[in-house]
Amino acid sequence: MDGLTGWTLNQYVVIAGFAGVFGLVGLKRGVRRELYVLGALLLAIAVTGFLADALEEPINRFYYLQRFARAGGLSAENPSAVWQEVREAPPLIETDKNRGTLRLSLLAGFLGASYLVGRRLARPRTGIIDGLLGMLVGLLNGVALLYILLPIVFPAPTATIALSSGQVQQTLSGSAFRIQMVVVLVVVLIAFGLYSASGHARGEG
Amino acid sequence: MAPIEVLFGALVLMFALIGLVRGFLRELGVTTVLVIVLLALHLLEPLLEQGLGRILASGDALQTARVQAGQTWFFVLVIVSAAFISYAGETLSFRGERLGGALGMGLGLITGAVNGYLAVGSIWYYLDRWDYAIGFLGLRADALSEKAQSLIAYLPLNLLGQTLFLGQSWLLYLALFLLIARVIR
Repeated sequence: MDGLTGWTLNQYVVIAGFAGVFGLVGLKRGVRRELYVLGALLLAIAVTGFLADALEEPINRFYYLQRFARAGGLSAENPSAVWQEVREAPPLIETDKNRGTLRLSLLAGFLGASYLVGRRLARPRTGIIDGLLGMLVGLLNGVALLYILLPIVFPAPTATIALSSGQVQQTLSGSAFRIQMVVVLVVVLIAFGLYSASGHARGEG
Repeated sequence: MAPIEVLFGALVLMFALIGLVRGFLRELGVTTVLVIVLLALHLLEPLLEQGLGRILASGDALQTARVQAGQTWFFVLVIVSAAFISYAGETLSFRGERLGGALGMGLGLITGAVNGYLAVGSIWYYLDRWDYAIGFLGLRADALSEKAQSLIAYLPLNLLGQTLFLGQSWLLYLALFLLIARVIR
């Protein structure tokens, strides 16, 4: 590592930078569409771990079946021998890294679906207040995504460009920080409700 | 009797259902009153505690228990009265069109739950503050479950009484936000 310059990034800079990108996306998309993403992320926090554990076995079985079919399947000369050969291979999801990849795929699925569903069902941004509320919800989406991603991507604290992912993780998993995010979310929802209850939300003002 | 955390959860759920029926804008009026009352209690607590202590003190052996019970009753009654007045009246309802559909239901449910958390959570906070001095409730600090003990840190005045910015608590900023929103609406 000689000759490399070390960069020390405060964990709050990392959180703000990551969330800021989502905030900008929210500013452009509007609050209604961003709320779909927030809902999907909260759902992902609740079910991704459980879903990944439940899917591990069926995915491995399907993987063996697919390999068996590609090796000739029941039309092979000796299907029993082919099956034995296929079963000797290691399962698709075996290590913690594999499980992390499965969780990431599920998360990407939730996120992609929420962006598409939000785009199809929710009205686009109707004004500057809509955009600003969208930015706030987008920021919360960024924080929520970071909260889910870090334990998957960095199971153990790792230093990358002198950035301590452990510190970021510690900050995000601190109960005070989580509660503060919940309070901010409630405030944003109240502001959104008040905005929706006015004519401006439908572009009347 | 059910554990206090179960009672707390059940009451918050009940408030959430009330919020669902009453609607978001009415519930927000209740939230505003509760946040302002909690801010006032938070700021005046040392003064009130001292004053009540002097009034209730009589010099006998049972003094501490009686003072604690009196102080608990006072704060609990203030919160119950604030909740009752704000639910019974229409005065602080926010103006605007009643929100329908899933959005209206969701916001009503969330705001109702927030009101439940503020009202019931604050009562629990004051019970805990003076060691569950109201005897007939049958609650004792050492008999609380681990879950209940961990929840105490998240009760409204423990949580929202924390400093946020310029040495002021979350409660002050929430009250300002709700008052400004009320004026704008």
